[in-house]
Amino acid sequence: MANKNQYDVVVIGGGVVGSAIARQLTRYELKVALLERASDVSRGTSGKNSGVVHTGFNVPIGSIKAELNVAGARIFESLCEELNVPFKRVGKLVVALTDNEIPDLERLKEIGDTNGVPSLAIVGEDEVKRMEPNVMGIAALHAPTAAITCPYTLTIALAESAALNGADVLLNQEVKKISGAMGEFQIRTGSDSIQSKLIVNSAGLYSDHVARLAGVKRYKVWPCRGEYVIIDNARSNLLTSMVYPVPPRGGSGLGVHITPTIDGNILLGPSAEYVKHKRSDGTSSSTVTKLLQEARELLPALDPRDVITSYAGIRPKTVSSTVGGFGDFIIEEAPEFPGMMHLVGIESPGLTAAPAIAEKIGLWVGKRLDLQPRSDFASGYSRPVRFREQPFDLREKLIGEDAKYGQMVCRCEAVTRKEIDAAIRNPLGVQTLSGIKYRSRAMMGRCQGGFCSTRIVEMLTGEFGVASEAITLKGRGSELFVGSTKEARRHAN
Amino acid sequence: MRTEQVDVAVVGGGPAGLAAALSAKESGAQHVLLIERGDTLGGILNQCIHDGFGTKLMGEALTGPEYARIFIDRLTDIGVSIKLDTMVLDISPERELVICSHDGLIRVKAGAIVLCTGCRERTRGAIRIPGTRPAGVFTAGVVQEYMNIRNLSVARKAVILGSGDIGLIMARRLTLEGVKVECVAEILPYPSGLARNIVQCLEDFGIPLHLSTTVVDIHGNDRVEGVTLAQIGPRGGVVRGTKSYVECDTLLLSVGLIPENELAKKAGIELSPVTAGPIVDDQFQTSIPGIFCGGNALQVHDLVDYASMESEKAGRSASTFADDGRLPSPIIKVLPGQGIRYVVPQEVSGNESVDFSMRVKSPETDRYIVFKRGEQVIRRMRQIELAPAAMIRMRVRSDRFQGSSDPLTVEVAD
Amino acid sequence: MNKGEIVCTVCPTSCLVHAKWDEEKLISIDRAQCKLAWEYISDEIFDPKRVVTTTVPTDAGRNPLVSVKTADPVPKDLVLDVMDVLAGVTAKVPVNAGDVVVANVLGTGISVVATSNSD
Repeated sequence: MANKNQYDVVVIGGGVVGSAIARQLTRYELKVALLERASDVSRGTSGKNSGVVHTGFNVPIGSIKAELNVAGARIFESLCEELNVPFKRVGKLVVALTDNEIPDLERLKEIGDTNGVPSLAIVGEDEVKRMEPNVMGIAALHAPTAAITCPYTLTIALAESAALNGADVLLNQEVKKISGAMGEFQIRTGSDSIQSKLIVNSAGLYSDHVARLAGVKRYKVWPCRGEYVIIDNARSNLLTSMVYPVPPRGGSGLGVHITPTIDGNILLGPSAEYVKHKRSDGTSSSTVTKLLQEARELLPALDPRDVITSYAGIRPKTVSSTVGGFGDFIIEEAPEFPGMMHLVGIESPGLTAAPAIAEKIGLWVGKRLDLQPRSDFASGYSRPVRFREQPFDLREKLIGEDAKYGQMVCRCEAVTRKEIDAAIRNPLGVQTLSGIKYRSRAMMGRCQGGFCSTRIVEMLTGEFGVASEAITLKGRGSELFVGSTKEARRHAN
Repeated sequence: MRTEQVDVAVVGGGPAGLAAALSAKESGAQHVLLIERGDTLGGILNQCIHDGFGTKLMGEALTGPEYARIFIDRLTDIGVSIKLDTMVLDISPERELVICSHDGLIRVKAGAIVLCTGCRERTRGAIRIPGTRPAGVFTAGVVQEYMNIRNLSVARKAVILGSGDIGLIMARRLTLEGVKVECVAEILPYPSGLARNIVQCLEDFGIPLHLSTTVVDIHGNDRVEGVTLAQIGPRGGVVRGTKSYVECDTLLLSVGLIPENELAKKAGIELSPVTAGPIVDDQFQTSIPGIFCGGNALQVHDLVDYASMESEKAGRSASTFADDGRLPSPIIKVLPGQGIRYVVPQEVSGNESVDFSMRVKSPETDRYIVFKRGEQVIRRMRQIELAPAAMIRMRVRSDRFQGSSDPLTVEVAD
Repeated sequence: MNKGEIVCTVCPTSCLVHAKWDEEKLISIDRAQCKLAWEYISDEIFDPKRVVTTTVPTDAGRNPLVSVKTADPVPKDLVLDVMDVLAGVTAKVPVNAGDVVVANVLGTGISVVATSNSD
């Protein structure tokens, strides 16, 4: 009875960093819990970024960001391979449109070389045209090791791998109170009370708030919104690498990045705008228009009609809009509350740095607790094959093994019933439409669920026995249905 | 992979595909295969439980399911092969399809193909409505399917964006089932749907229609709590001081249909940038020989009757092509002129009478639709009501083409 | 003498008919493209009617709903009352298109019939 809610380490925050830390800790004989306040992992900043694995030429020399960016980039590919998460080394071009931007390219190369970024090179107009025939530019900095991944797929894989290796991933659990001391912390959530020897605060946008729950008042996070536009994957042939303009110095430009996604879409963005509230992740029409406009300077072939949708994420910034400038990662214990590690301001390159941060936290835990490696740590993570990525003969074989592969549910992204079924059966027990969407890719295409969402609802209410009133988009409060068709009529009477 | 040889393969079992498959078989094609991705035939008609279908073809105002049933019964009687729960994964210009079902993959080699893949609804993302991403934002067709097929209601209080027919029909449907429809907002200065629907769906229930109005913000983090409406000026900007907040738990989008032509693109078929459907001739043959198209995939229809009628012709042509490959070649281009947004078919042979479909650019009253060759008028038709929302059909008899291959223009004139 | 513009909804052409009428009958119509408009406009002024189309739940089977309609138009002011009656109706499967679901609804002599099959 006493053991149930007692942990060695509790990680607060189910983003990519928290999930990576939780998984790292399950390599050892430790009782680990990952607390996440939303209905699923990856619902914060981790689910709403560009998915770029940065090389480290755009972070100041000597900063913690630079150190962890480069260290993370080195091990990122093998982590993705372990977890069966898509990873593609597409390379990056920072493009100069005018001669006076060329010194900026040289400056970035110097920073990158010093930070330890491999293979950077400055290329001329012909080479830019050869690499990217649709892109405008007279010269570019080429970073061939830059890569793209799927940030939410990685976060989900990390968290589910942690769960499969024995961590308790506790969703819908918002931390309300932290008390006690190292070795015997007490953490109260809305519905539970748990004990832990150590705490890791990786609560992203809310890391300052979680710190304050423990009486640590020194941190402040300013939310800074970044909006993106998603371009139809029918246009994926427009470019291969990431294409960035030279970072604007002052001026009114957004410096919009053009990023091919791992699923074949093109991302434009992000913008950068300080907002008042940490939940202000709506989009604005003026920013979307501006993103398109600026992107077309680099890639004129873009057409507004190819826009599928837009979305926004919020960066946790450690500097205010008035102060501005660079803010480094904060990864430290507060001397007034030992045993609790705070990760504050983990914005870009946070995704890239996540595996390196996880190792660093693992070492920190190792200094305070005895770490016995587990012989049965399962590093791999399997997911059903992506039907649409298989050649026809393999598809035939798959259908032979499981007829559910033969039923296409999401037409736009070619996702089969089998994959959606597997997504619903995830180890975290998430059955929201968003959870299914991010695990299967259904509802992410041109029609945005117009065809498949009704069928997915039918699967949930049918074979999975979920009551229709319990079906939500993203957890409690976002229910889809009020009842049966006649419900409102009966109610009105 | 197994291979199957068919004379005519029809992709899509909605009102277009049903008509094409039926007519292909009736025209003499031996093996006609109808491929449908859903678990029943009828397509969108199954959820269109309101009436108004069949007034032209059958002389009655039927409900969607009744209209579909007429075709389905005849199809099964006449021996058309039907594959349900089957998706077309690939298509080649050589008229080979790869289809997928729980039975596995099959390579279908067809003498001719008719693409009847219908439309999808335009989404919130595509029209970029700003604001939060709560539950409760739906396209009208999805709510229609939930309400009419799956016995699920999404709303207690709704705002509808778009006065197209689907939005108007749902305004009535929701109201009949006790949902409070606060208003319908339409970004254009005139309604997008048929006048009969304005009367029977809005005026009958006192639902206000706000023209030149759109949704500029959506509120609510988890579920819709309200929307902000605003008037749009002649240049597309928000008119200052006109923003108003409307409390609701649902925003229904009826902001346009987009022909689904991913397969057509895969086959290399040339699409019209105006209709978003294939460019076709008077046989409804596309730019790829032996591949035909009809229904909403070709052009968005208001009346199912016309979708079926043009697909019936497409099916007949497909049957002829599969038999001996001999169809009259199109030699006369038909171009939209003054006041006309588009005309289908875009080219004709001149050998046969042609039923043209067209849409005007803006609403007008009491004008003439005129077919001209240069300055010579070859056919004129008086039209009392001209609205972009109401497709105009006009027959030009074969003798009017007069054996000349000069291009024709269609225009709106006094 | 009353006059007004009324949309004729007999067919999708939706002619905007200019009508003149007095206390008890339709006097004249203009701008109609066919003869069916006369009866429709007359009804619309003096005795407006509507076909009610909706769904009712089924008691079992593959389809949770069956679509239904009033076999003929009912008086317009009874439409919501018809909906109230149907709110309490469950159709027993199997149902075939044309089967009577509610006979003589609200004493109008008009039946509510199924428009699709449900098994």
